[in-house]
Amino acid sequence: MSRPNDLVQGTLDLLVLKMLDLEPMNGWMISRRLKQLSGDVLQVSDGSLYPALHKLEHGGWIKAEWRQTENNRRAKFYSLTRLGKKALGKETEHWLRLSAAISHVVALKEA
Amino acid sequence: MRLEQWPYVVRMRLRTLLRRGDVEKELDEELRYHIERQTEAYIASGMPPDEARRAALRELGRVERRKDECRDAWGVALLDDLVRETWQALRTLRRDLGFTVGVLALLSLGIGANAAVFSIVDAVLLEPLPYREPERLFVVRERVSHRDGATSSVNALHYHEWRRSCGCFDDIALAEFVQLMNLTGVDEPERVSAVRLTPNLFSVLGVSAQLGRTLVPDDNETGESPPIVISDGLWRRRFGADPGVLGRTIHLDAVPFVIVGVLPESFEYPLSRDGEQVDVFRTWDVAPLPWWSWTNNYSYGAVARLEDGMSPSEALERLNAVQAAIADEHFRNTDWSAVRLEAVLIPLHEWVTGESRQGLLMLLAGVFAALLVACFNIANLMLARGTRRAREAAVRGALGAPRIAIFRGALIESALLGAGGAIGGVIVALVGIGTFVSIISASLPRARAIELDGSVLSLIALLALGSTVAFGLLPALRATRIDPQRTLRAGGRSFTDTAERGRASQALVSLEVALSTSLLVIAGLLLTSFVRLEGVERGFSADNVLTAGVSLPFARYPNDDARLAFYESLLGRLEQAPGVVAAGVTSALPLTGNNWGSTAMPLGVNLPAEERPFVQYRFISPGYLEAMGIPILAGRSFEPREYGDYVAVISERTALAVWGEPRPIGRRFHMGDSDEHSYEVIGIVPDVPSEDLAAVPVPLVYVPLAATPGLVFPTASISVRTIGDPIAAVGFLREIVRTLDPSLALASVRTMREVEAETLGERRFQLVLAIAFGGASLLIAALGTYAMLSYGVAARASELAVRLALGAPAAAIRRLVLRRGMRPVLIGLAAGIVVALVCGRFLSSLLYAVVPGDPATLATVAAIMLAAALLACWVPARRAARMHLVETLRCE
Repeated sequence: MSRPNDLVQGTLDLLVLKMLDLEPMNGWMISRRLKQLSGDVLQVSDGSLYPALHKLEHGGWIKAEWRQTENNRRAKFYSLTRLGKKALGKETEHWLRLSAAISHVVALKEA
Repeated sequence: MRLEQWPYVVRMRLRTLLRRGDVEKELDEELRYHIERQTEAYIASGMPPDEARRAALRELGRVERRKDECRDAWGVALLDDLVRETWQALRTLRRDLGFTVGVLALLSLGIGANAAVFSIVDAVLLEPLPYREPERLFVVRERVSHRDGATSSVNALHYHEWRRSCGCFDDIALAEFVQLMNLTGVDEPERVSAVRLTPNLFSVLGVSAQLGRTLVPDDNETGESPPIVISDGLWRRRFGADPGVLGRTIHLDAVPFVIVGVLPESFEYPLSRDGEQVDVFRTWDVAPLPWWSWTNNYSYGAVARLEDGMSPSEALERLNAVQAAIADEHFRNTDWSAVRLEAVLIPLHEWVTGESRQGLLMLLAGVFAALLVACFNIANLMLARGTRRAREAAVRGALGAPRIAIFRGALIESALLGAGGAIGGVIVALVGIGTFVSIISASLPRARAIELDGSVLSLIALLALGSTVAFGLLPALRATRIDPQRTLRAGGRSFTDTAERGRASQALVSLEVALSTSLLVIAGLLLTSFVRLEGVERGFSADNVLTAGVSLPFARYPNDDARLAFYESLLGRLEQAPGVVAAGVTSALPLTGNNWGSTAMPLGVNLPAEERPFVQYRFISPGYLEAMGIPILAGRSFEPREYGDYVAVISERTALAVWGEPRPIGRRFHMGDSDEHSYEVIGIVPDVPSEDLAAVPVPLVYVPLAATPGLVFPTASISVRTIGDPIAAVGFLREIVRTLDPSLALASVRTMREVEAETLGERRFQLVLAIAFGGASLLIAALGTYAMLSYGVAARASELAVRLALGAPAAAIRRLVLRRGMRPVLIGLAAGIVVALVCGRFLSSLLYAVVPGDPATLATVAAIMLAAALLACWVPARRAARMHLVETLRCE
């Protein structure tokens, strides 16, 4: 069995898109917010976060800009593009369908 | 990838590729920010700083690894590799600058020269003529058996017979020779070239007008304002391409004509000599004169269009049957009864390209040989280098570089060389064609049609690129297949048979040197001829002389008196003009040919007609000898007003040919058959070449232009000697002519220097060509020698280094290498001289005052060749003698 905090393949992209849908964030903020929101269930490794961000950025789903942070430092903030918003909607729907189906299957009791 | 992603993706990739430094810096900053921020967060939660930082780093994993993963996400990895390898290849090529420049020069020369020459050959020989179905067009010539075997132009009577009873042609057109006429009625008068032809010429050629119509069979030359058709050139030059030109009346030699059409730009008149352009086409009725006035007159050009499906041989057979009938009818019971009459059909294309065909094909062969040698040389260079670099490839392979990467490196390097060579080739070709056309356009038919042929160029460039890549890859391919261990152990040499390769490249060097030597000898002989021709005693002084032609239309200058009056007043005014030393007119200028030859018969001697001395006459005004700078050697010149006396100035050669003594002053002679008057010899002048500087001067006799009744020529050349630049005289010369007769035009206004240069033009062209090819081949030979020797030295580096270390003097090593390099050069040199001596025999018509075996030329060429070869050998020899044992072995 896989460990519980392993992300289902491809869901990292969905999670990142969702985070950025809330507000533009930099990599560190995304990592921190994911841990907080999921109650540390989703242990997104910082190592895989950045390649995923770059993939999304170079694929045109998110865009980046350099901004001042609250403690006066420069950081790379990502936000959704129009394309990213569309993808988020589709992926969310897809995920809900999938997870509902999986929940349905695992909730089956022997008749 | 979805379509809608493309705008983002392309923008990101471009940025990644073009602003790589920024993108990398941002990646670095982004990750650093994360680490710092995370460290702060841990510190804030109470961790000691050191531990906090370690934890932050641990969570991120290996930073460099993360960066690589991010870079992979950028999707430019393959391009990255290519860019890096291209830079790598460029660096390598810059390091081996000698090699790079050598290959690029060889490729550029090879591609460029071939593309240029092939474009020329293509335009002149291969492109179909701009007529309808040109393969059915033939020039008809006649051969009359009592003359020497040469063919002649056509007899007009025979032409009528062919048209009437041959039955093998769609039609035949006949044309007079081209003549110059005064065009008036439009701005400045001008001399234009005009031809009279049967109006069916255009339908025979299948050419239609771009404006108006061509001549049609109903047109005739009599009646008011006969129709003419003009060339595109004249239409643009004189009428500003005005479409309203149709119906305009212009005057040719004071006779009115009406323009009915303008020919297309591509039209070239096929029957003129030397590709001369014709501006005006008049109709010719081939007047039915009494037959006897035609019988011995073979002077017209004829073009025939064969009937569809008729073979040339069958047509010729029928034509000759008609010829036999003509001979039978007209020659029987005359002195000519034994004469046979034949016709000759020459394909029009062959006729138009004429003598240039052979020269161009030879040129093509020469250039092709040069390309071949250049290709061999490139192959040699690439292989030698590839072999040297096989070791490098083996090392990279052993260190784990994938085969494809090694292969790609070699491919990129070769492709760069090939591409550079192709670009150089285009430049060489463009410059070559430009130079070629500007030098020879006057003497080559269809020169106007020459342009760089794109398809030819791309084909040759592709071939060169292909061969470069192939030769560059071969060693790489071998290297990647080779077991790295074996190659490394053998010092990078094991898989080439050094001895065999050495012999092959030595033979190649001999071949190149031989080719180059023979070309250089030919160039040297032509150069010597040219220099000697420039130095030929001319008997006149060409500096500060302006010349121009004038022709007086018969309509307004119908007799001797009118013409003489014009010349007298022209010269009178010219002599008063500022800066003029002398002015004169002559029936023919030096170097422009002869136009009036006859016998000179000493008084009191009676010789049969065929034994009388034959001389060329010049009809001149008194000032001409002074204007042309022809000095009087003995006796006197003409008096200023001596236009009509029976006196003569003769050349030295005439004195000897007619009287057998050098100074026959006071002797008298008859001109031609006339015994009415005799001329008295009053002066002797040096010989003046009348056709070509290279020809033996013919005997010349100068007589006053109005001495003989009926012989005051309507066409004359004016010459004006000035104090300064003769071009300054053009203005007032034109002005004076205009005041005397506004309808007259001056033709070919040139300085005497230009006249001289024109007679040398053909030779200059041959010389330029020979020197260009000789120089290119010298370069190729030197590069070949260098490549062969460099490779040899590199292959034997360790041996040479050991010898040096064991105490062999550096000079001995140098000698060893030089000997190895010079041996094939000497063999090639000897072979080349033999080839040049053999070829020289075929060149003798091009040479002047120099024999093919001229020792000075041979010695000079040998010296140049040896010097170039020594230079090419010296660099590797010096490298060999400086070999350092430890460094060499470390490299191994």
